[in-house]
Amino acid sequence: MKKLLAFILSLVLLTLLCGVSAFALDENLTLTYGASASGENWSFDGSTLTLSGANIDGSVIFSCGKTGRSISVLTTADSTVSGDMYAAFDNYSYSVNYSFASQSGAVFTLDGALRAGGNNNETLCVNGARVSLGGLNLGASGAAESFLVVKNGGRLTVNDSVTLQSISLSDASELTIDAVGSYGDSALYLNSLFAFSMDDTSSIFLYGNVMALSAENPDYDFADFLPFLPSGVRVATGDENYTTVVDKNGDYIAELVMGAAAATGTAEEHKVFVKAENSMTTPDVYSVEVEWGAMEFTYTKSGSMDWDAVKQSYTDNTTGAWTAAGNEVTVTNHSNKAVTASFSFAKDSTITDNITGWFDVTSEQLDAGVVGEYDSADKATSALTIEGELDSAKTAFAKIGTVTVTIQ
Amino acid sequence: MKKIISIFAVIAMLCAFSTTAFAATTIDSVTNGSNSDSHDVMAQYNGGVSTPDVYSVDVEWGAMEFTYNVGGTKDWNAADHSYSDNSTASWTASGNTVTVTNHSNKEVTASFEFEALAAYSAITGDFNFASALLPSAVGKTLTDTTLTVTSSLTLLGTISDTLTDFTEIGSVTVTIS
Repeated sequence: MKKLLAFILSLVLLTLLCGVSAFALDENLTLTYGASASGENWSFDGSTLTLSGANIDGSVIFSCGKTGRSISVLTTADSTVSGDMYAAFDNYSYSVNYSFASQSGAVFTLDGALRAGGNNNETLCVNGARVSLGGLNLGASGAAESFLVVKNGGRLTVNDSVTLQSISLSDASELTIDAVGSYGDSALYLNSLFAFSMDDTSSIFLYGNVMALSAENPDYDFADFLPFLPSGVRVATGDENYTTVVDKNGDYIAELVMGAAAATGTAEEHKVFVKAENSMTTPDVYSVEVEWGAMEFTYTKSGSMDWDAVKQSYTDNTTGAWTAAGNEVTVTNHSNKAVTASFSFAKDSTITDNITGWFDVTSEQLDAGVVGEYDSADKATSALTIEGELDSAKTAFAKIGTVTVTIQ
Repeated sequence: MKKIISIFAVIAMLCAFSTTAFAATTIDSVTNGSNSDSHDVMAQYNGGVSTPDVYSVDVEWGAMEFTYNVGGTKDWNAADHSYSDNSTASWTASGNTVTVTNHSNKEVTASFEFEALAAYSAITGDFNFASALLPSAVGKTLTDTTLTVTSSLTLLGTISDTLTDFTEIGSVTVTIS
């Protein structure tokens, strides 16, 4: 009997220490940091909350005392929290760094917002986890630095506007911020410290406007992000409060997908801004077509050699003229870079005739090819003129020189 | 320095159209040594120049004045009341040569001929060169001796001692062929 009473007393004390009811999952769940606790489908070892099919109809509060904390949430089976998840401090607000992980693709759904509650550097790290948040509020003051890291295939969805100072996506991770229907349809608020890194295996879907808090920091400039935009995307300046990402045709892009394996999303009628540290390259390709004329020239001598008996010599009343069959060279640039085509003629070393040749266009720059406009590729045509007098013994076509087209 | 990435293989493509006069190739690099393409330039001579024949021959005539000279004596023979003819006769000439010079760009043949008038048919004349082949003047100087022939006329026969003044007895013809 004493043992039974002692056991019941222990349960009561444990309940008081942890401030939760292990079996009251339709209430808020308050976990005292540093103290372990467990309940149906959840357990807390003092720093890591493990959810295994939990369905908590309330908020999850981490009682952190008087110091900043690192809080881990491990989801081993699909779990949901209907309220918010946040850290509570005694008297002051401190920084909290969240880390979410999952096993076997288990999904953690927080209908409410994940809030840090602190006023300094705060981080949410989604490390391979599948997490859906009703909201995300790191850096309560808005001016504090808040970092979001999604890595190792993590998939984070935030169904509300988000204010962040730093986002990092890597290792086939995915971030979705869907603010459609929220106030102002703004998906992402950026402040002056905004930094973005994203590898080409990861994806980001932003449904809604992107708001720049430029008014808070005049140094902020969207133009700074332009070099990081993916190829084929340009930024068209909108009004003072947002910038629109449009494609090369001027159509807005409501989603941006990077990485071959990234899924596509749908969204319409919302402006999107994305900044990425783009690692995609566009290799230079040089392909220049050279079309040769036959380059066959005929020297025709006509007129007469008139005998001057007084001087006992001939008076040359003849004229020589060159005619050409195919004396043109046409160069067409199919490269994705501009090139310079040069044309030159060199007399064959065995030719002693006083022959020279020159092109009417010695050098010309050709513009890079334009996507979808193969037939209108920039081209240059240069015609070769041969001058001088050919040896009359060359009554059949013989090589007199070489023309060369050089591409630089 | 441009970044150079070659993607396409070099395509040496002869034109496959209706003529072989045109050919197309592809240059896919701007790297020195592989950024150019060349083509032979062919030429031929088409001669259409004429060289007309021009004949031009100079004929330089001597005076063609001949004197028949009779010298010696006619000695009286009293025994038979006759003369013994001890005279001698000979022809002397002043300018009995004809000089022909070929300035043509073709060779010519010059022929020389004397013909006496009917009244003096007893007189004959001979040229020491009845004919001569003169080469083309092409490539020769104006003073080239091979272009010139001089033929001299010699008369034979007698004339009356009454022709004490120069009298035409015939003509000399130079024929160029």
